[in-house]
Amino acid sequence: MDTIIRAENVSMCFRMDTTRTTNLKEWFVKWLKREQKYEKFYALKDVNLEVERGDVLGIVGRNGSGKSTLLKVISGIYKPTAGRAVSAGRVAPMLELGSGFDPELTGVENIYLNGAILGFDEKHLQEKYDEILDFSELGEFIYQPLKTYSSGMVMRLAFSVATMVEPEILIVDEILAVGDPAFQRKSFERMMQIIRGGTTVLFVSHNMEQIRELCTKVMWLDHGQVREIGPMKDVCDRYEAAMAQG
Amino acid sequence: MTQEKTLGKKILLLTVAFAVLAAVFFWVVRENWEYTSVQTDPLTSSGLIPLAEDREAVILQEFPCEADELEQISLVPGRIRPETAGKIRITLLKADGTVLRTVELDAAGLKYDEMNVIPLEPAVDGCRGQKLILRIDSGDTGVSFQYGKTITAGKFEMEAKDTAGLTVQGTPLEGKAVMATRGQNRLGLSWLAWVLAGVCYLGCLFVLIRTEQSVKAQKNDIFFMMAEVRKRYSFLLKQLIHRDFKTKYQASVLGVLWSFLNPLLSMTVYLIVFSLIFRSNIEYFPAYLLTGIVLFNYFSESTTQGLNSIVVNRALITKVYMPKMIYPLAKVLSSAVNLLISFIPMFIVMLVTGVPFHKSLLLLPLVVVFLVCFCLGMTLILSTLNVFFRDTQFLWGILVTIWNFLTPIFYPETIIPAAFRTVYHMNPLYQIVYFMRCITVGGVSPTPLTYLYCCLAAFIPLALGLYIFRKQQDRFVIYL
Repeated sequence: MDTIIRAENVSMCFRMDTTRTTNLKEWFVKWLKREQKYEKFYALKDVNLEVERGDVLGIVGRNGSGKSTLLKVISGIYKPTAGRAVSAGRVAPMLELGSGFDPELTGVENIYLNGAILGFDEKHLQEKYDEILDFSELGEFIYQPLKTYSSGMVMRLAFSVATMVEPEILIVDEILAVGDPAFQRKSFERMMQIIRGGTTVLFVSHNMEQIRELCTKVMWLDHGQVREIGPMKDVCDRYEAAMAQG
Repeated sequence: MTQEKTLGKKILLLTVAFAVLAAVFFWVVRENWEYTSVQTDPLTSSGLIPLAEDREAVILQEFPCEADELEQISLVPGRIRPETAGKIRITLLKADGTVLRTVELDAAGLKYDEMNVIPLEPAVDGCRGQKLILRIDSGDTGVSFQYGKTITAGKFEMEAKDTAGLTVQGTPLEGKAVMATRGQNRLGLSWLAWVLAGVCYLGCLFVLIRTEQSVKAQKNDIFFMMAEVRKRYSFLLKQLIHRDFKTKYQASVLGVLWSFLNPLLSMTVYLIVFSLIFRSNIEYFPAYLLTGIVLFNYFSESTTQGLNSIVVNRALITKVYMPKMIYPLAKVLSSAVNLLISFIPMFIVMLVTGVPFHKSLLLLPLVVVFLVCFCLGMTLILSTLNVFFRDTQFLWGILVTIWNFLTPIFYPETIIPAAFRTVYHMNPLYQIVYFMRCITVGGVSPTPLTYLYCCLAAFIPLALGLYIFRKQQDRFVIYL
């Protein structure tokens, strides 16, 4: 098996709020008072991770345990303060509602814009265009500006673009509840299809049912450190037991 | 095998393209890089040189010759009595008394109280930097000439510095004859056009070949990375430019027409205001205004919008990896589309107000390149700054206004006192606007020195912007 994501001793350290001056006056006052002190906060500490092609890795942990930070390090948005993370494939995040969309543009234009943001070229998007349109169930609305859509329609389009373009690594951060129950079922099936198709998926969720259904491997993060990583069933059982105790 | 073939093809294409461009460039700049015309401006008249009627009138005026080839001298004659007749002899002498040219003017053929051009045929050669003496033997013709002590620029009048050297009938008189000279300086620099084209060609060739090599060998160096980035993100760039351009005039009734109307309306406002205040003596004032307005509008639009580009796209930047530079770049380029559109009303105004179209207009793409590079550099610096200090956007609004006043957009450059000129010329926008006016209103290519200044004005900010942006971009996500 070949490794598609490798993280070695990744640490991510943030400075706490005292230095986050975003206006000149504050900065100047602090500089005058020599108050540029800050506390360090480790969102991730010495995380090691190897993901093989085709794995579906679930990441669990309490709020603030560093799940989203880890995903950002893997997709290259954060540069780790120590260690390194490399991924050998194209990472596409499933964007939150509308963040890659422009309300003034039509659905068609948004498919291309969003596809381009996710890193795909024109030819690939043209090939996938019919599938995306079909899956989103938008029909003639696709030629209307996005601002006329209902929020359900926007989400359907976002989900369609993100899953139809077939990235090598798909990052899903809690957004499987899209649209009406029928579309939810359809999108869940689509996720399964992607997974069977060999796409590597990193999946963050608090919904243990979904984790159990989709993942092959689970990683448990606790205060920025890896508590456990291993086969889905073992880690899930122990995690749920720990959560039940509080 | 096929790869080598395409490389060969690319090199051939590049060579042909450069040969054509270099030839066009040489054709456009040759005359202006071989010779530049020089002229000295006249003082403002304060009256006629007083001549005693009972004597033979002789006026001597010393002046520095500033041209390699002095082609003409202009003077303003006036009547000291109602009827004038006879011949006036005008002699041009060297300081040591050698006679250079003698011209006889008929008093009846003069245009009184306006500039009379006296051509020197053949042109006086080889006196540049020397003091020459203009001797006017007015005799008993009843003709004198205007003289003055001040120069006028716009609505301001100031003391002229050099008012010595006037002698009337043997006695020195304070002031200087109202005279203008015109001639040509030999630059002999047209060969530089070929050298520049050659250097650019070799540079492009080097990048092309190195990129091809690196891509072939999958070598992880800068050329390979640049090629990858181009391949992967050119479509995204296109999409972002399309979005910016399309959403700009969305929901406005006139849409893209505003790109036309905007510069025209500002021009009209300035035209009305400044033709009342300045009584400007600038040639082709509407075109002069519009060229400045179009360029400055681009600067102000691309930087004010671009400086927000990182902050506005924070939702994407914190979720998807991509070169962050793409956002400011997209803004600067989508504004450039606007700039190109606003050249259309500029050409229309030039046509309507009778500005002659010269081949120097072919240099317009250079202006665009200089300006876009300069604005991109500024935008990169500003958008970086704006991530850390959101005050930047408010501060910049004021700075743009100040910058507008520091650039000769709506006033003639001559109102700036000579003492401040050097500092004034350090404004990168000044150089680019000057270049623009040379090729449009002036109808000539600027001298090589202006090209150099424009290159500095464009590429130093760009290099600085790239450096700062690249150095800071990893910290952006933390502050967004």
